[in-house]
Amino acid sequence: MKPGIPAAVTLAALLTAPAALAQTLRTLSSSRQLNGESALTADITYVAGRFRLSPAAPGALYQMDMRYDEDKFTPVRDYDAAAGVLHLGLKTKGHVTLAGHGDEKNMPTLDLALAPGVPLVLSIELGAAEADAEFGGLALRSLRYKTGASRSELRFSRPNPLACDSLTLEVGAAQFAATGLANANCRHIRVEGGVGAIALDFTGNWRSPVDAEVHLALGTLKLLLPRSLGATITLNRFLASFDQSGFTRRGDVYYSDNYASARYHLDLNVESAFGGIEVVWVNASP
Amino acid sequence: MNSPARSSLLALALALGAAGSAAAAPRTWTSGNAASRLAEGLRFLERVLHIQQHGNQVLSHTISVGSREAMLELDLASGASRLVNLRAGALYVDNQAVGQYTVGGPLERSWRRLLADAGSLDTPPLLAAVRTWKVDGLSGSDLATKQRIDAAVDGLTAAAPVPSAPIRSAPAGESEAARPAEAPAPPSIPAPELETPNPDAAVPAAPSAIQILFRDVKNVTAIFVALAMIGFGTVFFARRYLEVVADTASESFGRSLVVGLLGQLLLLPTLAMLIVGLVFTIVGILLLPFAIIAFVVAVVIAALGGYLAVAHAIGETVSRRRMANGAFVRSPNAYGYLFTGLVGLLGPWAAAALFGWAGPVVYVLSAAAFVATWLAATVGFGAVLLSRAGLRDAFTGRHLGDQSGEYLWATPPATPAAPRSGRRE
Repeated sequence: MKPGIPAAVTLAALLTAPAALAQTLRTLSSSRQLNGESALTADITYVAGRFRLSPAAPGALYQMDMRYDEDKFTPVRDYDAAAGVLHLGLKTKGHVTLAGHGDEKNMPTLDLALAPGVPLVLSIELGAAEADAEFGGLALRSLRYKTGASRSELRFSRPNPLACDSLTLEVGAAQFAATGLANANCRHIRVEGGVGAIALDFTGNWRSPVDAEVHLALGTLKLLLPRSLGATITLNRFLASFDQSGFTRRGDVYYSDNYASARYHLDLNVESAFGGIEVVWVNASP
Repeated sequence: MNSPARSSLLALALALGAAGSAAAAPRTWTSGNAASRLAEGLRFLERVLHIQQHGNQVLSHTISVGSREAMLELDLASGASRLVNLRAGALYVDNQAVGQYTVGGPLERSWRRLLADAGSLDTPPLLAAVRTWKVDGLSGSDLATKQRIDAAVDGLTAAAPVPSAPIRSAPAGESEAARPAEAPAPPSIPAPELETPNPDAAVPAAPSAIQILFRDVKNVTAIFVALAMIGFGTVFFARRYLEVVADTASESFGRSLVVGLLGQLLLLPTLAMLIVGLVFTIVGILLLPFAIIAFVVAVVIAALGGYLAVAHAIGETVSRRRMANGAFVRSPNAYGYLFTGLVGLLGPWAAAALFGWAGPVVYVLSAAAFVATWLAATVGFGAVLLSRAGLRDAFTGRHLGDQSGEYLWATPPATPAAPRSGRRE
């Protein structure tokens, strides 16, 4: 069974519970076209359900399609054109249970598309959500992605045209996978993991060296590295296994065998307790 | 609006803005309020000349459809918005009730269908769809309401998208400047730096033998008091279970030792299996921190409880032997047994503390104390596992009939052994 399936089933079970009772589902579609914006700060908050992100069609600043139970949730939609700040998402009305939203038909959904041609400072905060986010094509200045108990798949399928200052991924209890991280074009990557399974795929279009920090309390960390990439891993672990094949240890640092000859370099600082760290070398040119 | 007309309007707007400023209180002339005055003037002229186009340009839209209402919100370039909402039989335009319609009638059905179909549209085609929206067969209040909706969107135009300035792609390797062209070779392991003693640094005075003695005795006494408090609490609240574990340790000493050793060896693999098993599901992941804490707490309780049970067993054995020899025992009960046992178990530590000042001999005493403590904890841990934390008395030797260990010491009948045994059975 794929690891995502039990997670999805569990998420559905968490959200379903007894009440597929009377819900007042509401749909909300919102769209804004470009008006010469030179930058956008987007703050996305989404408490529960299914979340999808993709680049918007040309001419649109954002497009949002949302479905939710209006008795329990309140949509967030606020755009300050002067400041270039956009708030979107879904929040709960006070303290509510999330039961009754697990089945496919009634699960809250948010499909969001953001302008690909506008420099973007993006912050995404998800609660108990199943997320599928495509950042490829977006012009990211920085990205902060925070998720609670969820399953997240982040993709950078196309290179970021901008040099990104920072990429911060905060993962609570989740199954989390990020692919094509080199396309993010971020010099600094920081991953804060609570418990769960985290997979970081550093393939893509390498244009600069990358420093990455990964802190994982409990769980497994899978690193997919291109074979031609020079990598160092500084490990601080407690009861966490690490397969050293392909690395040479000098002091506290593990150097990939091709480190001296590689054009691009990834310097990883990994702190992990209770779990395992797995490195998979893949045939992809940086 | 064409360019010459706009230039004229700008000039006129500036003039109006200046006239307005003469009447107003004196203010600092900044580029911000200049732009603001210009915009105000332009809007005034547009209103007067009925050429208000820019302000009525729609930049964005929101469609919200629920069971109670179907709403269209159009955000205008002027910063205002136009809200058209069919809710509970009333038409609201900009939150003002301006008409009525038949709930579930043709107007509402058509309006909802229009909004549902327009959900995926950009703003210009959406506006075009609303402006060309037609509903057949309307009459009465529905027809009047439809006309009010048409009037609400009349005059609104869709602004053409203004693309952002093109982004200059970060050239490949732009950030490589910070890194040398040739990657550095992996550094060799540096030689350890030797610390140079600083003659000026104050050297702390070594503690005297008396200080060492007091410090060590104080530590042992504190540990004894702490263990005694915990032990007395255990006797008070869980005497039956403590006695079963103690009997298991004394009657099945070898078995308890082996089980305790195996238990210690299997602790970490068990914890690892627990973690791996829970990590596979989100529910398990959520439970993981609690499971680990519960595991650690259970192990600590088992080890501590087992240690106290061994102390109890030692104290009971010593007391019964003394009583069998005719000696007077002040407290032949579980509290007394525990006290005596703790004195015995902490005796080697006390000896190490008392002779800590004597140099290397302390290491021998400490090693002996450590071994005794580890042995007691291991046997106690094994006894806890064997007796299922005192729930199972299969290894307590109580099934030997009349020849049970309770009576082999020829204990005087006044001891609490008989009632204790009777209570269990």
